[in-house]
Amino acid sequence: MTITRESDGTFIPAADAAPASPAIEGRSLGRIAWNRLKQDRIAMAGGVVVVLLILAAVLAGPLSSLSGNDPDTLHNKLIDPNYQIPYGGMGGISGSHWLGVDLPNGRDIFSRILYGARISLGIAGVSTLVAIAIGVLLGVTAGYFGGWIDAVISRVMDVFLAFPLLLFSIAIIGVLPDDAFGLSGNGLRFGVLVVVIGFFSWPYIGRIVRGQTIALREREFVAAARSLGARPSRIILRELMPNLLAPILVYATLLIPANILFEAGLSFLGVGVKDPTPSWGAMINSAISTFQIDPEYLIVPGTAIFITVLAFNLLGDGLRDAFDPKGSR
Amino acid sequence: MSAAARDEARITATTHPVNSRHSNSHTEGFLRTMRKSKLIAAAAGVIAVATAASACGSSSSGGVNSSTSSFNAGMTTIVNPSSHQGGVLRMALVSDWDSMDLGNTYDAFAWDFARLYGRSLLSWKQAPGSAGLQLVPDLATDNGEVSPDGLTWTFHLCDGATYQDGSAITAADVKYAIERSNFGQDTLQFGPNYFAKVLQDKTSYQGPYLDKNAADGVSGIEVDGTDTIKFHLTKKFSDFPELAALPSTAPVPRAKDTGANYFKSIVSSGQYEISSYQPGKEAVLVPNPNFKADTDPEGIHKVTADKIDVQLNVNQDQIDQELLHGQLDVDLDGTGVGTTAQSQILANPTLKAQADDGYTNALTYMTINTQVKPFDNVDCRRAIEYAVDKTTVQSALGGALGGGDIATTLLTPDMAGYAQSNRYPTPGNQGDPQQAQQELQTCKGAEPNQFNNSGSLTVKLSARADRPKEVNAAIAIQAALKLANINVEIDKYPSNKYFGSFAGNDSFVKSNKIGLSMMKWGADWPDVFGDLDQVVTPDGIHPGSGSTNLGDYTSPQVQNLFAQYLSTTDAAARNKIGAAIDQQVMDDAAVVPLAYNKALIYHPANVTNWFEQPSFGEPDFSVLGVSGS
Repeated sequence: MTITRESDGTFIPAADAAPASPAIEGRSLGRIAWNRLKQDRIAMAGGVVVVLLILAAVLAGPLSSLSGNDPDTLHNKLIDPNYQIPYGGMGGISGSHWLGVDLPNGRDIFSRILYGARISLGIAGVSTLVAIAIGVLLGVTAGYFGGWIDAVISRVMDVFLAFPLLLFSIAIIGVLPDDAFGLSGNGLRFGVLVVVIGFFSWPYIGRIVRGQTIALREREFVAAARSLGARPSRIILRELMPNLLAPILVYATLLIPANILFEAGLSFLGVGVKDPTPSWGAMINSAISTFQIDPEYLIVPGTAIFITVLAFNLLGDGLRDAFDPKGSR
Repeated sequence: MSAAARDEARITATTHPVNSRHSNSHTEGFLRTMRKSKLIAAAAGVIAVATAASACGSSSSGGVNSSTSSFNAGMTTIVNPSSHQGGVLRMALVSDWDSMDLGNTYDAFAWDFARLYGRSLLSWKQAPGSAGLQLVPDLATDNGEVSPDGLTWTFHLCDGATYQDGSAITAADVKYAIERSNFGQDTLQFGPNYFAKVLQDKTSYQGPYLDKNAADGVSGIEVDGTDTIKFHLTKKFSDFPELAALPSTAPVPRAKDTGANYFKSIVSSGQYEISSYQPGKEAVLVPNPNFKADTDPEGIHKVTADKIDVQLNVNQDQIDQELLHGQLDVDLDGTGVGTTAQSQILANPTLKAQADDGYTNALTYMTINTQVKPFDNVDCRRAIEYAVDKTTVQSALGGALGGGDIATTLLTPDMAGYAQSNRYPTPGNQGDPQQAQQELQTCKGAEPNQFNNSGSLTVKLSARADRPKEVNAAIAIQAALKLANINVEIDKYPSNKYFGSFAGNDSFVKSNKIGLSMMKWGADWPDVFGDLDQVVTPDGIHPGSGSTNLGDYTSPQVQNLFAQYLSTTDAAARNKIGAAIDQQVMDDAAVVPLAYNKALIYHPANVTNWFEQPSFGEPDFSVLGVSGS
């Protein structure tokens, strides 16, 4: 089997991966993986957290109104103007402000974290979809057809991987006007972030898919299909894709936290969404100047990013183990 | 100048130049703002000028109270006075000089610091409180003699004053220094050029860099021998002594001038000389061995430390923590500590006793662009005036101590002509969304196309990205305007390009429809004209870039009032006109005053001779030393 350089979780298709044991014969790959995943408590915990985070982002409005707050209202009366910290310490945590208020404007942190989750998960999720779409298309094309097509696409991937992504993002957002591509303001920022992050992370998916495709295209079931006269499009869609789904799922799950961190980094540097739209990275940026006197404001968004990234990574690792035929049950 | 001499002071007629060369200089306008708080107004608006002068050599009495430190002690007394000489005075600055060349700088701290290595003709008295608003002779022997027609000012130079190389300072050097800085702005573009606006200039002198003939010069400056210099003015200008106190009057020997590179080899006339200057990193000053203390009877130039070390481009929080932990002596910026240190200082009585909190003589405000639709309509501007919640803005700026007092006028409370008023009163200064909505309805009737389908108005607000307090204030304004159905988009730009490329760049403002701009301004000149001319008249609008009148505000009434102001001599009448100008601008709703700025400034216990210099609105950096122990 052709060795794929990037993938440490090499995948062997179900067609011949099924061990001899009759007990599990006839089960689909997905079912095997699911059963394994269910037994992986850490991965399941990660999965539960991911689901809760997505729910929190979707239900940000109702959830924040539970505490009677919204993300944009200023509560400057809660801030001691001289000490520049919330009255009562603890970052202003109270019955109505469950995670305290930010500085110096006194906005409710709980609401801002929830709405910030929309930005973080939204941008990371959509940009990961963009990356998968491009990566799978080009990866399969390169892997299946080989030859000069493979050479061209692979070199393009190398170029993209070598691109100074952070600098490029800052530059492109810096030079974009307020209105472009029929979008404006935050819509434009959101779109640009999604495109930039997605457009530059596709090679990671692409190389894995290419490697898997090269491994699969030489296998008997593909040769059989080819000998029966199947066209390349049918082979790719019906024979290869089902076998590629698992690695794509695994790496998508692992790409999301990387993109969350990337979005947070861009927001931290001031090229994310605009005020007053909350974003975790921007919250950390505004909190660092006062972390010595009000650490709570820094801890909350930092923890949010930490938990989210950890949860996605644990889930991704669990998925990879679950799909790994060499993994223990 | 003795106290008796001051009592005999003759207040001369005051006229100001209407004709301003300023409007021709694009770069100068935006640099002006770097000089945060230039000159405070004297109580009467006119600086008393002593014509019965003390001779060079007579000694003046000190007589200023001194004290051990307590909160705000530096506002009224000299804290920790000491004649000790020695040690290293460690300073740090968040930025760098615009230029260390005294003829090419407009930074407030730079004018303050300038007295360490340069002698201007006159100097601000080194004293806290109102005493610090008086001018005393420095390189000159007295505060100048004015001819009966008010058009000629004569200064005599102290005998025996020398440069750091031991050569004598002559009146011709003072003339040359003024010519290069005021007429050579093709090369030295940063400093002010007030002399060019008031001096006679029969030959349209192009400055020493374009006109390299050493025999040429401005006809309005006449040198008589080596120690007499006469200034011939085009009109009466009773504030001329203040011009003579500008750092650009410090002598520069023509043979040593290297133009734009002179900052690398400045020939000091003060008690220190620059031993090294690495732009962006460090400046080191050591005592000037050829400084003759007997030519400085006022004792303006006293050697304190054996070495002054200024670290440049240091992060504000790092400066603050080093100050609090004894690793640094002075924050040279003079605009106060950051948020973290403010909290730490106010919470700790020991630290608080080492701090001052006074007016910086600057105003934080927001302009409303009178040429960006729909704000060409006064009702639309008034809607903004009513909508802003100044209490939230004050919190965002750092509260009453770190930010300042809530402002309702353009003139700051210290300025002559200030009259308390509030054209747009709102309950508790918290903004009045209902009133704002009413104004907005009137506005909408006139400019229906500018409103969204939902009936709301969208407007852009520019702020300086690297000034967190300004950005937070913009966020507070954004939230307040939202209540009045006005959606604000905050556009953040780097402060060093704010005036050149963005908020002060007319074509950028208009093509991007920036209706609102955050702004901070300190008076350039200790009266209403000097404070407001560059921000509410066409003098501050430069067609290319570098406008300081960010709202493009022009008003025939205001210009008429300024004309009246400049032809009025009576102080009380001038104050009245000043207040009327303020009211007219407020009536036209061209700016939203936000805060009369204050700064919390910390001085470590080992720093000697500490006080707040009222003429600069910041600590006096020219007298500081470190205690011997």
